Amino acid sequence: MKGWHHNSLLGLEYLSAEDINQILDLAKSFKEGVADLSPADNLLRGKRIINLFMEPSTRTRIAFEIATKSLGADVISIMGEASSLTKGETLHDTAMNVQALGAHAIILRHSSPGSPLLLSQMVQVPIINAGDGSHEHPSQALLDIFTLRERLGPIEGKRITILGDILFSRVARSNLWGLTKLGANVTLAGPSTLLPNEVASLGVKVSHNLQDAIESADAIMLLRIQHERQQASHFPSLTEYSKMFGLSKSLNKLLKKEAIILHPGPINRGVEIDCELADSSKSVILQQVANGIFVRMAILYLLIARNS
Amino acid sequence: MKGLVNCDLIGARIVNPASNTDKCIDLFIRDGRISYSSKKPEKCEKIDLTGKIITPSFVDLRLHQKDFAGNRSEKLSITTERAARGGFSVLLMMPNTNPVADSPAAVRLILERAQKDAKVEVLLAGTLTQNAEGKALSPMGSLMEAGVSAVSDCPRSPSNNKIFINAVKYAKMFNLPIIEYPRTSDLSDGSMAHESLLSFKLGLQGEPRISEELAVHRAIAVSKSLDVSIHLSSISTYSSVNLIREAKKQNVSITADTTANHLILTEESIQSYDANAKTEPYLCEESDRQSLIDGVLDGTLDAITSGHDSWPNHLKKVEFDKAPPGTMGLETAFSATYKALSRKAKDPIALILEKLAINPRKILGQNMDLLVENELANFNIVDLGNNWEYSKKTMHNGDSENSPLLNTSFNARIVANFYKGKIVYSSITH
Repeated sequence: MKGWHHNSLLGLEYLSAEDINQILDLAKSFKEGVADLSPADNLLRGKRIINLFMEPSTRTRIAFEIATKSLGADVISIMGEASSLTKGETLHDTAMNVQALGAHAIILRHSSPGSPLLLSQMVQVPIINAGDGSHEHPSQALLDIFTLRERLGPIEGKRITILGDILFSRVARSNLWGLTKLGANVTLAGPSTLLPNEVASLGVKVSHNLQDAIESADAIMLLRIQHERQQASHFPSLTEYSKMFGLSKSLNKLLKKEAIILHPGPINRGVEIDCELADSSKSVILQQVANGIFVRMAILYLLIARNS
Repeated sequence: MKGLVNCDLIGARIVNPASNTDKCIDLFIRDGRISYSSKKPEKCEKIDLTGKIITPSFVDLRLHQKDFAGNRSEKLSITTERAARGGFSVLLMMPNTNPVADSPAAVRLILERAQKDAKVEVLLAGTLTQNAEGKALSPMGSLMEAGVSAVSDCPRSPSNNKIFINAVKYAKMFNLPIIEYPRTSDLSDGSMAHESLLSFKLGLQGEPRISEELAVHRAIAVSKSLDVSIHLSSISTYSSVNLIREAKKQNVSITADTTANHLILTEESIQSYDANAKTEPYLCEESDRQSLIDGVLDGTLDAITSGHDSWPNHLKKVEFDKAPPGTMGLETAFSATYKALSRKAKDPIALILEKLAINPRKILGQNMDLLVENELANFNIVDLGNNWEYSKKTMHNGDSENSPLLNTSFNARIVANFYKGKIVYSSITH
């Protein structure tokens, strides 16, 4: 693939603006069904993709499965640390087994930060990071940025607010890298316990005040509150969170008329966002899900066609 | 006795800060004992050591050797071989052995094994609290009778203040050195790296600097209040260095060390999730490293340790968060320290000997008659200007390679180690 020089997709931190645009442009071509890429289901025919999901996931795994099948490749999904293939095994041993199964690429979801990099050092095939602990979730951020670009036009100069649990969010990190590389004005917002001030040195604005963070935003990207993990030590209660940092319908009047709302799902309705806003015309949540397939087709095609 | 050395060491510079010695003088080893005048047999081997330095051998205040009942840790014979190559003659083993050194029976078992397998002297610290859990005092009197040389819960610290204070009071009765590894467990539990912008980027749960700082505060307050000496182990942050410096100005009876790895490395070493750089304590930022160096230079930090903790390769070649913390350091402690300090100190070799040989002995209350006429030879031969690289080829062959300094080049090296009148390591060729 012209200009593409990455063997794996480990995170957006490691990509340039050109790399990101290349993926997004290709995703757009898939979405529009351009002639060069038709029929798409011939493009990766005969290739075998392994979904190695060591942590629960529904939409990311399904989106990758649909994307893989849309390109004509075979997909095998191995799920959970307790599956018979991986039971008690080290990542190294699992990787060797998966490689021996004849994989042309491995899509990895894992709770350990850095595990896709480790896997890429163990096997010869491309690795696609489908979420590694709190580190990165590049395909999610790419579909977010694709959706933003689709709705708002070029990303440069746009004001994007990422709101919620920044500290533990891989989606926040990947978007932070992707959006700043493309020239957006990014504000990170959330409670001080979930948003370290040092992050400001990465060229973003840090805000602990919801109104300030949203009123001039072109888009608000909400993050899921993983209350099982953070409650008690990081914020007092879901009710308090919702009051201080939830996107309630009463805040709608503060938003720019054309502002859009994104959420990587699954949504905690009434916590991060009120139902009315989640289902309003401002919400692009379902559009994100649909775009996820084209973005993942682009990722798979770039990585596998390049290595073939 | 078998193996006792007879040789003439000609032309070396002898540096021994314990006796303010720094001069070129020939050393004659007869039946393993030191002599400053040539005695019979006259025909023994003559070794030209022009340009080399003879120094007292080193004492390490923190070694982890985890298992005396299984195979989770490198064998003590291999660890002590590494120690010999690094110039150490005495190692203080932390109590997180298996079994844990919290009962007289465990202490006797471990010391018996250590005596059998070790190439150099291995001492043992007993726990401050039972199973180092911080809930009940360990039987320190009985542990002392069984042979422990210090007490510590390293790599933990009792979180309960009452237990900590009583453990310190109790240990004082026996004049056992108290070694505190300063950590606030509820701030450190679950962490994977030093808390910083880098740990945020990597998605690794960070240990805040304040975890060490609070425990250092506590140790200083307890030392002052009870008038007990406490040694703080493996200081890693600038804030701790500042606290210790201030405490020493007020004559609080605190001593402290850092590890050689912390003088030469920063958190940048974990950028690619290299578990071999997952040290304990974690590597911090450049400002911390600079402050540790300043602390060594101005005497705030009394000693430098290896912090040696070897793990079999398969336990380190895993996901970063799943890899146990701890890295090797015995073979590189001197060379790394020299690299970190040689351009900063007025007399680097004397300073390094204070930190690796003299002060650790003082902290453990050991004999300070070093390089004395008629004593058994216990010294190193050091070669400054010896360019070498620490690599899988140059390290002693064992089950572990978990050093963050793999493939690092150095310009100073231990070339021989004499221990109790015998040569336990030598790379000198004739």
